Amino acid sequence: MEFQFKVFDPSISNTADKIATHFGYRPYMVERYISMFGIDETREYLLANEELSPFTIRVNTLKTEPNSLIASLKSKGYTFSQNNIIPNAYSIDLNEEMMSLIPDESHNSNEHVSSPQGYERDTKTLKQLDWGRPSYLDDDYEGNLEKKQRKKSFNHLRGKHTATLGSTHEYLMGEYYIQDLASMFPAFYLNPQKTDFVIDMCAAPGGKTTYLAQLMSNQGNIFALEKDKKRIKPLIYNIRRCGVLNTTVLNIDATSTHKKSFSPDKILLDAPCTGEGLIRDDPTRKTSKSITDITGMMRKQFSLLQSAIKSIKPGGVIMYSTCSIAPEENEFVIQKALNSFTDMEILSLNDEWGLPGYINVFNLDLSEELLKARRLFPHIHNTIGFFYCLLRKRK
Amino acid sequence: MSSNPEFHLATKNQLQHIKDGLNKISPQIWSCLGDESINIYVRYNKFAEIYLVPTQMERKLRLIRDLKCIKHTGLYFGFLKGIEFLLSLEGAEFILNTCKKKKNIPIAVITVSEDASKSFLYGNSLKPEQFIHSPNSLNRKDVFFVFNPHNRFIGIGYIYKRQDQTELRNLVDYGYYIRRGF
Repeated sequence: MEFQFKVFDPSISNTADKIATHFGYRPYMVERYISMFGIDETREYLLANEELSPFTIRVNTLKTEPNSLIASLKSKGYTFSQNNIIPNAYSIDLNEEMMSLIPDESHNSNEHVSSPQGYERDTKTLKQLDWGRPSYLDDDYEGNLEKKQRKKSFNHLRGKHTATLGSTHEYLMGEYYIQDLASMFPAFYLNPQKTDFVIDMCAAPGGKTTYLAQLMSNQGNIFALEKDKKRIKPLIYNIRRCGVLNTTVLNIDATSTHKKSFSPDKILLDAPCTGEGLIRDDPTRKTSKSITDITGMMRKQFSLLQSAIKSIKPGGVIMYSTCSIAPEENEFVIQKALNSFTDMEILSLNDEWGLPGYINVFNLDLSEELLKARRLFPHIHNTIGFFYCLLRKRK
Repeated sequence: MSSNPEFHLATKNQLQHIKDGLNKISPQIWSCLGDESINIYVRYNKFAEIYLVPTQMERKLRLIRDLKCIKHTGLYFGFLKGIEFLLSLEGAEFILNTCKKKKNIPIAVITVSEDASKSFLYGNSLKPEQFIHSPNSLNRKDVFFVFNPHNRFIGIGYIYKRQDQTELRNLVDYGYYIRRGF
């Protein structure tokens, strides 16, 4: 079917309804997942969303050296594993106390799903559910309740750990930034250079801005735009804490960027989204958004991308990303941009980790160019759900 | 840019106030700043905020027509409260790094015990018996960079004296942002 810039609003099947009730989602979401993944993969996806994403930090090389920081944090009882894609990214290793709070069945299994990057996840829990049996929920209700309680304790402990890492002297000194691994990809693949003029269009709370500054070694120029006055304070705090010197924070609605004659070399547009990819870390998102929100977001996202395209100088590149897995907020927005601006092309990323963007979803055919976009999923990559796509304006 | 009252290059008077404030820490800091490729800008908020802007950023700043929308740029160096210049944490770090490069610049430093450093990071004042290293004479209103026993900078304090009582009062410390609840 020909591409239409509108939200896929499916009718709800009994299966989707049951699964949605069990996992606490809105039924339309599950129906859409089934349409995107098929039923087996939907199951894996929903189960992965019940696990927290690995806890990662980015060492801020503007302030310290990775070895000395990691040694210093080790002396405080933390242990980390270095990521082998993003330099200076480290994931925290769970200690025994934390592991003991995780339900046995999910950690004593020898069966593992190997995923890229060496992340592993047991398959036993994945196989426990059989959605074909209507009696399932009642049968296993007690067990699930207990599991939920233990998980809550684990999350609480993880939260405690997180809070502690958010108040160490090293953190306060800006020597590291607590950031999900997926959120590091857009700045990393935008690859800003020391002489570049870069605009971060929706900058708060500053994770990507500070990473851009780090990649640019505090050289060149960054304009960090943020429309919301309340979100400017934490943005400025993070910029100051991390020792960023090359950034100007502007209280500007990014949809009007093209009216400012900035003409940057590079733009990072981490667009506001429904946050459907964040469910594993924020389960309230299972029900906090509706299909109308997707409609509103995709319009906003296109408006932002349109402004970015009009602003960028010829030959310049734009990194578009969201933490939503909804195709409407990702491939659809890019497709509409490709249709509207013929001088735009998608660049290939040297990224064998993420999965290609969709070119056929919800019975719609999209440009094969979208295979160059990248998607990260909780059940495959053990990150939050994420999308990123690098675009270039032809000279 | 200087004709706009929201954000402009620091005036002669403002520069003098900043210089006077820095002289309380070390008379040689001001001349060090002159060696760096930076300009000093002022942005008006509750007080006059002082920013050090690398020269490479200035050309892009000129692209901004509505200067009201500038909320931060370069390095936040401190602020002017009337004619008194108060250094920010970031400004202090910048000075420490600059002084490290030019080894002969003396900076007034007090090193405090582990417990005292935690207390200081909660915004509290410290007693002289909590100091590990400090100068022999502590004069009223002297400004000090405060370090923990691991030689890490934790904040800025000044000497408060009343009758027989001497205290290192907290001006600003790295726990501030957490206490503010960002």
